[in-house]
Amino acid sequence: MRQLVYYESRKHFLTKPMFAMVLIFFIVNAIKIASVSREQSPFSMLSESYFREAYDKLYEIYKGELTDKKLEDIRTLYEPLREKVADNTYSTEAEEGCMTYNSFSDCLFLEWCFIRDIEYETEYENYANHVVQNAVSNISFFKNKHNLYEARLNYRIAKAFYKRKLTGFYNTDGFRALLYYDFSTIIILLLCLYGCSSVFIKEEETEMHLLLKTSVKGREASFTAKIVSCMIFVFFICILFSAEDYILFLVNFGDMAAFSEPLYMLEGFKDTLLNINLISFYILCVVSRLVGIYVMAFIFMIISLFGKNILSVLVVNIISVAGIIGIYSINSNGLKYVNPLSLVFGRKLFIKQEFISFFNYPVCSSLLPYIFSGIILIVGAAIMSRRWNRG
Amino acid sequence: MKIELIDICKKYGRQKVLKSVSMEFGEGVYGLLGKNGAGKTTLIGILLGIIKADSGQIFIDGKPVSSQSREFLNKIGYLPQYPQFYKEMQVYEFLCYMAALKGIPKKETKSRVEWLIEEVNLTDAKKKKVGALSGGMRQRLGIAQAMLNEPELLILDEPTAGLDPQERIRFRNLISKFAKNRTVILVTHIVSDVEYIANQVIIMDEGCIACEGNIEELENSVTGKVWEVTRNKEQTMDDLDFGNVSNLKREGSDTRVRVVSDILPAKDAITTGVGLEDVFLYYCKGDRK
Repeated sequence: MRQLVYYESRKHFLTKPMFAMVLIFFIVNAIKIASVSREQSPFSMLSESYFREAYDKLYEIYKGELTDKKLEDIRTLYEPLREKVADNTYSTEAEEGCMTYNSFSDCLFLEWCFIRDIEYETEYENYANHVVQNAVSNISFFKNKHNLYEARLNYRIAKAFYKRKLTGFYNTDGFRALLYYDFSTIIILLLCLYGCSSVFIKEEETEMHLLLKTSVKGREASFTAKIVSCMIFVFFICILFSAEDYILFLVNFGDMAAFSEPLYMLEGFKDTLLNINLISFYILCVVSRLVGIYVMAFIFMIISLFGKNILSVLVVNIISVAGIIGIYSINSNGLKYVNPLSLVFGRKLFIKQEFISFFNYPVCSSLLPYIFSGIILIVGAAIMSRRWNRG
Repeated sequence: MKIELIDICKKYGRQKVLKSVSMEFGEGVYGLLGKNGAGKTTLIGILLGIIKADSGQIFIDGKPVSSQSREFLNKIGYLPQYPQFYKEMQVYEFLCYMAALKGIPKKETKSRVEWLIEEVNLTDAKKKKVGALSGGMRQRLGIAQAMLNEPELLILDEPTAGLDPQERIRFRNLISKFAKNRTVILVTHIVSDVEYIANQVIIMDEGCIACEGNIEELENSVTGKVWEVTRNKEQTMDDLDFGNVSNLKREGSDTRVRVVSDILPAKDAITTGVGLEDVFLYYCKGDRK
């Protein structure tokens, strides 16, 4: 089987055009990441290098555990500046003894790069406690009303938010940019479309299907080898571009020290029910993307199996991708869970989680796309196997 | 190896492609002749299990077989019509892949592939990409892959189509070499290929077997029905049915016309020796049925 998997990979994926495409897209992705990093860095608006120098200096002091002393220090630094520029009439001329250019820019710099994040982090514990209190009171209320589902749901919420707090201060810009970065996903989809479209139709076009079907290992074994080689290819491409994303964002932002901080450290994930750290969440997103792309790859292969020639297969596959993206963008609740793109762009499933009632038990809706993807993969494999092995 | 096909029928839509065809193959080279669309490739597809017959049975050495059984697939080698193979693979690599598909153990693969490359005279092209091979070289590669598992039954579908005369001769010799102790079915509409290497000939027409036997028997069956008419420039040829003309040759100011016909085609016609081409023309003329 290993031999067959190698030869299937050699036929469809280990080809010069594929290597060239991967290389080109790898470079394009690096350029895009550099551009996104520039745009999303707080320094993008502050073009002068002294902002960066000032930031590095202060960040060295305040990063890590947020102690009372650190909080006091930064407030002592910020409050007088805020009062000074409060009436918006302060001069914008350069001043001596400032961290950046003048008091006004110092104030803005502190606010954008430190104060906002620190305020969010210090207030998060109160916010979480508030959620827990509300959930606990809801539990009693719904129990009295004999609404078991709502009571269980609130129990899940209370449990998820219980004892949540943020104790560290880290630059999360790199992680924020990484988790919201979708360009590499588009590249992976394109590469899969190109690679997987030929898996079955190539045999028809070269008349090789006749030889395959009259060889001992040309049917079931060959079919399994095709699926396995395709899955290895998708896995490799996903891991390659996910690693590139992570490394280049790390290089461009210069700091990913927040990797062990909880996901809700990012303000966009304030309400998530996941109590995992940022790096685990990134891995979860990579896995989700992988599962979603597997489903897309199966769709491409099914079309390849029913196609007449490679061009028509490519065209139908492109139309299918466009259709799936179109359905995804409608954002209809029901279709969202069946759509493999929900997994491909997996983070959205966890920003604000929803639940559905399953025999009065709240089941996290973010599980549904995984279940549907599993079903699609099994049914897809059955359809392909039947078609491939017939006659 | 004895292969029996009994009452094989196949329809595509309303069109009957095979009409209750029965035939038998033993050891030796069989030429399966027929016009395009006669049903030859469909019949072979059914024998190989690529196409499902509407009805009929296939027996191998007296036992009914599901054509897909591993045992049967192990016994066959097949060269399809117009194979392209994988253009980006090298010759050696392609044969190794085919060996893996045929379940040949890895340790035997290298020696067998190298032996076959030498046998089909592709040693210099071993590292060449399949896409860079000429038509003849590709056909030789095709026969090499068909021979990888040392099959008892070798099926070659239009193996010489598109080859130049030199390559065709080389290919015929190759088939003759591999034909020893095997059943070889040569499916073609090129009569001369069959004439040179086949022991037995089966001619198919419109989904039926028009005739079968060895070349001598078939030629005898048409003896007295092949005529030659010689006309000079002044003489008209309007009285000849050109649907029955098997050859037309100019010799100086004369034209010698070879006609296959049950009846005297012209007053001045004389009977002449029979070739397989005449037999083919005689049995494959639709209106004779």
